[in-house]
Amino acid sequence: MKKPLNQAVKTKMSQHTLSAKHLSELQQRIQTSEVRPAVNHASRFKLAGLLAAVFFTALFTAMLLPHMDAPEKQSMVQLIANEVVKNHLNLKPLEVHTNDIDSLIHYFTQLDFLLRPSREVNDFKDRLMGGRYCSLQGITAAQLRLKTQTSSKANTLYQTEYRKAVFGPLPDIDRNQKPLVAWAKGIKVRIWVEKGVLFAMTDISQTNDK
Amino acid sequence: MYSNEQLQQLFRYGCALTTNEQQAQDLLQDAVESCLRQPPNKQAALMSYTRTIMRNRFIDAARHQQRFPQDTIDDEQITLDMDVRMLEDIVIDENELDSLWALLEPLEREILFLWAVEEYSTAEIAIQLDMPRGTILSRLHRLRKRLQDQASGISTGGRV
Repeated sequence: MKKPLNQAVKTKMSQHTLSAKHLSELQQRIQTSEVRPAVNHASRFKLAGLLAAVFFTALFTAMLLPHMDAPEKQSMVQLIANEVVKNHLNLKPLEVHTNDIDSLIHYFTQLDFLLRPSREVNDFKDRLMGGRYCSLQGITAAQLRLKTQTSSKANTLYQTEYRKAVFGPLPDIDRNQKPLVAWAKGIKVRIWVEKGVLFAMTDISQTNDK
Repeated sequence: MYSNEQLQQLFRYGCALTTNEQQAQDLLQDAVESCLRQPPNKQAALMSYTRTIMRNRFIDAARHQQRFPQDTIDDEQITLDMDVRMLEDIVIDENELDSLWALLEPLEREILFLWAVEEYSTAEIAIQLDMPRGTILSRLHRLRKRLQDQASGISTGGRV
C-alpha cells in the first residue's frame, strides 16, 4: 500500500530498535562516566566526604528500600506518561481513519502484537476514530485516538508489545491488578498490561485541579 | 543525560547514515562517549550535538574507505520556492522504499531522516548539517527527481 514518503520513511526507521540489552549497557556506561569526572577532580577531603556520603546514602536506601516502590519503576511510569501526553498534545494527523478494529489490524502490519480492545476502555468500538504509527520508549507502537464519552474531544491510547526488560514491572489486569495512574502536564494517564500488550491512555475527563 | 527514547532516535539516525545496525550501534556508542567527555554547553542541544559527532565520525570512516562523496553544488537552476515540502506529494510503498534506500547516498538518507523522522525544515536541516541552504535545496531537488524516476522504474519493472 502506497503512503506519503515521510510516513513511509518514519515507518521504515521505526523498525530499527536498540535491544533492551544494548540500551541497558549504554545507560550503564553513561551513568558510570557521568560520575567519574567528579571523582577525578576531587581533593582527598572531597573524596573522603564523597565516600562517606555514598556510604550513608547506601545505608539509608537499604533501610528505606523495603518500604518504597522501586525508583526505576516510578521513573519509567512517569517517562511513559510524559511521552504519551506529549504526543497527545501534539495531535499529529492520523494515518488511518476508521472505527473498525479489523481495518486497523490490517493497516498496522509492522507491529509485533495484535491490536485489541481493552476491558479497561468502555465502548471501544464506538469511540475508535483511527490511528497512526508511533513509538513508546523506543518500541514501535500504535497510537489510537478515541472519542471521549462526554465531549467532542479525544483521548490518546497507546498499544505496544509489553517488554518487561524495557518497561519494568507493570500491573496486569488479567491478574486482577489495577492500572497505574500518572500525571503529566495536568493530564491523567492510566497504564496497564492486558494479554501481553501494554496500554497507556490519557483521561482528559479528569485534570489536576479536580 | 539521555532518555531511552533519545538513544533509540540517535540509533535510528545512525541506521539512516550507515544502513547497518551494527555500525549504527558503534557510531552511537562512540558519539555518546565523546559527549560524556566533552558535553555541549546546553542540555537542550544534546541531540543535535550528538548527531553532529555521529555524522563527523561516519564521514571520517567513510572517507577513509572513500565511500562518502564530496558534496558539490549542482549547476542546475534552483528556484526560490524549493523546500522540503517538495517531497510531500511523493507516495511510495514499503517495498519500493526498501529497494531505493540502499541506492541513496548517505547524505540523501540523512536529509530524508531529518525531514521525515525529526520533522526538520530546510533551514533546520542546513543548520544541523552545517551546509549552505542552497546545497540542501540542490540535494532535495536531485533527491525528488531520483525518487520519482526510480519509483516509476520499479513500478514499471524498469531499470532498478
